[in-house]
Amino acid sequence: MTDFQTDSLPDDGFKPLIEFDLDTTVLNDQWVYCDFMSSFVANMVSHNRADPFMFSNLLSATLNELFETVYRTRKEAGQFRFRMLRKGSVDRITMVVPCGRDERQFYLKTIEEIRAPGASEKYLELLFSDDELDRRVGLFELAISYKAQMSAVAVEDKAVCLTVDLVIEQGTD
Amino acid sequence: MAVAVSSPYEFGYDENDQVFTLAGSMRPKDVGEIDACLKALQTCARRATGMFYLNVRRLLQSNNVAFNGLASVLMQVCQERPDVNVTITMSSVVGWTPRKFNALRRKIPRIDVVEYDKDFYPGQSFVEDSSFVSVLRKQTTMTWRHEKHILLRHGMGEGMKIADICCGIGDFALLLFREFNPTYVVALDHAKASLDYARKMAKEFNVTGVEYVYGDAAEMLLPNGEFDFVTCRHSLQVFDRPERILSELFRICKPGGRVYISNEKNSHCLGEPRAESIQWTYNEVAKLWKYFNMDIEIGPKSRRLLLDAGFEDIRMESFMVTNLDGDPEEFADVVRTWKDMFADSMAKERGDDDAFIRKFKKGFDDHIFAALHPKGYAGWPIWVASGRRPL
Ligand SMILES: C[S@@+](CC[C@H](N)C(=O)[O-])C[C@H]1O[C@@H](n2cnc3c(N)ncnc32)[C@H](O)[C@@H]1O
Repeated sequence: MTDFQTDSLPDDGFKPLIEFDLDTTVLNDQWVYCDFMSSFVANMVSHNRADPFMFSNLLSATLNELFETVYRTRKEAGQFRFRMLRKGSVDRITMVVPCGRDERQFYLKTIEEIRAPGASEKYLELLFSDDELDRRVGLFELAISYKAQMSAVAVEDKAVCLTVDLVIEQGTD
Repeated sequence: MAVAVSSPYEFGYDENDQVFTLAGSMRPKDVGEIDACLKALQTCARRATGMFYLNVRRLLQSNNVAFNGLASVLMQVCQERPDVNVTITMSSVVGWTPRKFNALRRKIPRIDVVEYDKDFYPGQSFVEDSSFVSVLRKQTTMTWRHEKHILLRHGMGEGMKIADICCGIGDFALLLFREFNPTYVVALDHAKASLDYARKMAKEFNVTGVEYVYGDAAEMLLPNGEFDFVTCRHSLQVFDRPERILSELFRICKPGGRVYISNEKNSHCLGEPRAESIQWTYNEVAKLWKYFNMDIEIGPKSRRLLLDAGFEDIRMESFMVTNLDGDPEEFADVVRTWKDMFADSMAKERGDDDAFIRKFKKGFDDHIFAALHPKGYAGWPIWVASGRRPL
């Protein structure tokens, strides 16, 4: 079992809210976990927001897209690590996904595409596609519709670490 | 915190109104899982004539798989049936919906998207206006003196889970919190300006046990049977169909718990001296509200409304807020804010002429005169009623 140290990432004054590890085999088998985890986390961290209901609804929608993306990633044996941190109105989500080279490339490349010109059009194209839904759509949605700041870095040659900074509610401190 | 009504999802069709309703949480792994629902949607839309409605007001969640499936069906219907237009009704309370359905509208202009709770209620613009804040604040100060005793006769106790629906600026919820030490209080309203104010007040008083939630009282996202005590004050009168709100109050109330409502009958406001002018004006207030499809005369109808909604053990009483309760200036202030709202905003909106407005205002001025007169008396009657949700 591999365990990746993400705690060494600079937190820039972000305070930890919630954190868990999950064996990737569970994530491979259990689709419903995407819904469970997003609903659970959203309920846990929304209570002190100005509008807890609205906040938790939007957070759950965004987390679910992230978890579904991870679900659709071919993962290596190991621990999937989820962390959520907060600074003022910014929520930072980090996810470490144990995976091989191709899958690391998927994340790195999608983040690049999201930053490229024409990303908004691309998002709509994916969202309304007639074919089977492209698994990039969730990451595009976070960037385009929720204006999330995202980055992906390879963790050695074993995993990828995805960081998402989200502002769901303006002016909360 | 209050947890929302959650998965699984449901769908249904009202053939009469051609409304296909989706509710709950749709997060399928692949589109095949929601095949039955998509097929039903397609069949209903194909059979529709003229306007076809898709109601997603309570579709709390949908992942992209489900959204993509729904959008595909709608796009296909629009293609096949140029004579059918689609209207999607969503609620601004369910945050994710406007983002995605507005994108769909931009793609297919024949699909219209409306936020149901925005323009739906009569007089919404009056009661959601931020100037309304001062009216509410003064009213609660005056009614609380009575209600804090009355509430005990209607089953209020310590340690309860309470919901205050149509909470306005949230001051009543704060007062409840201080007086009755509840486990928690959820206070819901549909006016963002009022809720902002409410949260500011709670922060100022360092109260963390009251949760202010944006929502639509006719279609709340609060769970069934959750609250020991549900209050809804001075609000049934702003809806054209109060029974719809009552059925929601009933739904969120625990079996055995109680729903408490308070309402006015404005034409019964009174004063001495100058009784006649005062009475004329308040009779006109009742007509004015009626013009905007609201019933400010609901007070004495409370008993029937509660019984019709299925409540039992109805308790009902009335009290009169008067100039003698506290500082008569307070009473005068409340009337001043009514005068501004009723004569300056509402009557003008109705298109009343200057002569009418002058006479209309005179009655409020006379009520103020009576309140401040050393030998005067001015009153504002209120009816409170409560009922138990059967076990
Ligand atoms: C006359 S005020 C009463 C407020 C408060 N209960 C009080 O006594 O001070 C009516 C309230 O109903 C709210 N309201 C109107 N339509 C609503 C809706 N659809 N859902 C929730 N609240 C609504 C208004 O925003 C307003 O705050």
